[in-house]
Amino acid sequence: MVFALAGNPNTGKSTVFNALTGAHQKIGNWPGATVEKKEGMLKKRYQKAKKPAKVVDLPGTYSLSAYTKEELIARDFVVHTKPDVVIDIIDASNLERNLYLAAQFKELGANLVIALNMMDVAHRRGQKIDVKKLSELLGCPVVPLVADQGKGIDELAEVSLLAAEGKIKQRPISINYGKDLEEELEKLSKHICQDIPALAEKYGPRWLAVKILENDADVISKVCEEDKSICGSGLESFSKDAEERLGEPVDITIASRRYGFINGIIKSSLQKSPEERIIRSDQIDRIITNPLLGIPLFLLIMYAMFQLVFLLGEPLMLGVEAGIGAFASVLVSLLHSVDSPPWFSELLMVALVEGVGNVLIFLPNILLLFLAIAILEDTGYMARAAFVMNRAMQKIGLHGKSFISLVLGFGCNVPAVMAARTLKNEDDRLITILVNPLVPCAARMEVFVFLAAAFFAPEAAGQVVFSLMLISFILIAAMGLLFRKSIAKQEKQPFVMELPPYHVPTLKGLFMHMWQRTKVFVQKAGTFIFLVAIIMWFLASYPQSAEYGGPESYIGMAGHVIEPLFQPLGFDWRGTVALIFGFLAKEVVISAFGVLYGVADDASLGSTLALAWTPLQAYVFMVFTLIYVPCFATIAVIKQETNSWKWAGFAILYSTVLAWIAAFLVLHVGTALGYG
Amino acid sequence: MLKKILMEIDAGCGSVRELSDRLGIDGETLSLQLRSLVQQGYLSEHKTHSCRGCPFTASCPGSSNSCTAGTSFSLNKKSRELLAD
Repeated sequence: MVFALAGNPNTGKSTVFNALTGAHQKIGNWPGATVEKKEGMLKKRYQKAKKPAKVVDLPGTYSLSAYTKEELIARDFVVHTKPDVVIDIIDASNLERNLYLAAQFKELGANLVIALNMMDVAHRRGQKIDVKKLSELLGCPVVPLVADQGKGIDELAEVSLLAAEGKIKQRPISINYGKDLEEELEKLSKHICQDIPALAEKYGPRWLAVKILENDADVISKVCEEDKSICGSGLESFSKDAEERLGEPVDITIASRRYGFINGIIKSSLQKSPEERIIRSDQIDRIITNPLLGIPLFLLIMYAMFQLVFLLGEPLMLGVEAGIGAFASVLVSLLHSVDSPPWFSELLMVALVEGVGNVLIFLPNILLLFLAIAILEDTGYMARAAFVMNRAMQKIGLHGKSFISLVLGFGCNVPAVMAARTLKNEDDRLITILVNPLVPCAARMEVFVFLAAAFFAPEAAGQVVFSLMLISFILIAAMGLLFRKSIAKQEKQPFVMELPPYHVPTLKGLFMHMWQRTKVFVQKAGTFIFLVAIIMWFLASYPQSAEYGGPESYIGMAGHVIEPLFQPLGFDWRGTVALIFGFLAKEVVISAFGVLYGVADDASLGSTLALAWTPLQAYVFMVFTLIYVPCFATIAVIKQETNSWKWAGFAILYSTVLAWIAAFLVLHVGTALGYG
Repeated sequence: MLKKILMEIDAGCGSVRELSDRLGIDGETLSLQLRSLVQQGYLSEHKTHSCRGCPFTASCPGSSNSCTAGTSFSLNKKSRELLAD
């Protein structure tokens, strides 16, 4: 005796399988596939005096089409092995969705038992299922279950055994596909019975006819193997006739009628209380994704996030700063005690303390920022924010799907540029790629967090970073419009978005997210940034005759050559050099400050910089960093994705020119307003 | 019903919830029907797991990004031809 356990994914199939079989399970793969196969023997207490029953867990599927290997495995098993009973585990709280598979099992002629699992969830959602009515309409036994509490398992085993022994009769059901299609099905069924009787006996002529009209590749190849004469134009003529009569593709009509049949069953057997029908997630979405409220809410959440990051981060940051100061003192004593050569001591102090150490001081703020982003992501809010922004993007000429790429840009512009591949139209792709570097990536956020904390009080620092986000959005909109008008007109490409459900984030999940990102940040500080700091130290220390970081040092000479370009923005040669090194990776900007401004023993980098720059200069620097080209990796990917150095070069040029103009305007408007 | 879904998508972008409101069907069922249309070749499905396969994943601060934007279903050549007929 064989029981096949089927069902949609996530319906509690494994729980039912374990409850029916206990510990006696065999795990392997389905022949010719890497899909897991589980088998077990029905517990002895259920079998009593009856024949032993093997329970086979079929792969979780939504239908019995031939589109995936899981569907084919499930279908072939039912057809070839002919299990004594097929137990279809259904999620009672999503009855409509789950009945699609059940209807297909009935069409296939399986000896079906419906296990209506998660009855408690359905009850909580205010759904009342008339189990008796459902059983009548489906023509098979229906057993209500709460599998994870063990409720209903005994009844399921008992009913399945009775069904397998033929003591519970099945009533065959036949979905009415409509007059036009039914006539076509009848004609085709007759041909099948005459020409391929062996297959007709195995699958049933009507089922084969439906599948042929659905254009099921697996069935068509089986039919062709059996009888070549019916193959090709012979089969196609049936589909064509039906299509002409229906005025639409047959597979669409068949699936639609099947859903119609299920709707009929649902109307007769399921009562939903109106106030419970709209589940909480939908209610929240009505506010969060509201066309009028969505964007103001998003901006409010962003504002609150930055404010919290700086207000909570300030005391923690002072603690880390004290720790790095203590480490520097220990390092100095240690180097002194081992008589380390002066150049080596200087190198270590510059690269480790002033380069890497100054990046790490801002770790608490970065950590809090990552935590806030992790909360927004894990709750499912980020997906909503992206969806809300998408509406606005459509208005400015960006393709709807661009937002997927732009959202990823908040993490890193490299995968974000690559994500533009989802856009089929070349012009849409190009525009998305070109505006993507204007999205502030995590590395640039680190620079903003560092400078905002150094130059502004914690209450104002959050507002400063928030204002940079607003500038970013405005520029994305403006450049999107400009590129759309100058590169290509928008082609309508509508789509629908499935948003993930809201979740209460788990502490473990949040910690994992935060830790993964922080780990990357710390690793980068300890490797790449350390290495760049060493290179910068070398360039600032040599030639030997030059004063450290003076105009005669290599870095000083290069800085002075470029300085005139950035002087109108108020940057000295050190700021200019930091921006140039920022092309390698944005975090390097912070360590460049440490190396180039040569922090005094008793001062922090923030306080040293605050003596050299005004808050307005710092803000202008942030605006430039926000807009100019993110890093060489992004440029390399732009070249790879556009397959053109021309567009990669254009991305560098336009973003740098735009950054220069924006920074210039901010400097002069700020000065005019008295912030200078 | 499935053709009506395609027509509604063609009428404008939105979320599955908004579409299910317009069509008067359950959101879960609509999700299944959208996947059914993907399988039948009438819709293209895009998931946001774009960090996968990226050569910079190891060094990228955003590479731990989880799926932030859900799944989008868009019309393709086959569905546009169907709607044009």
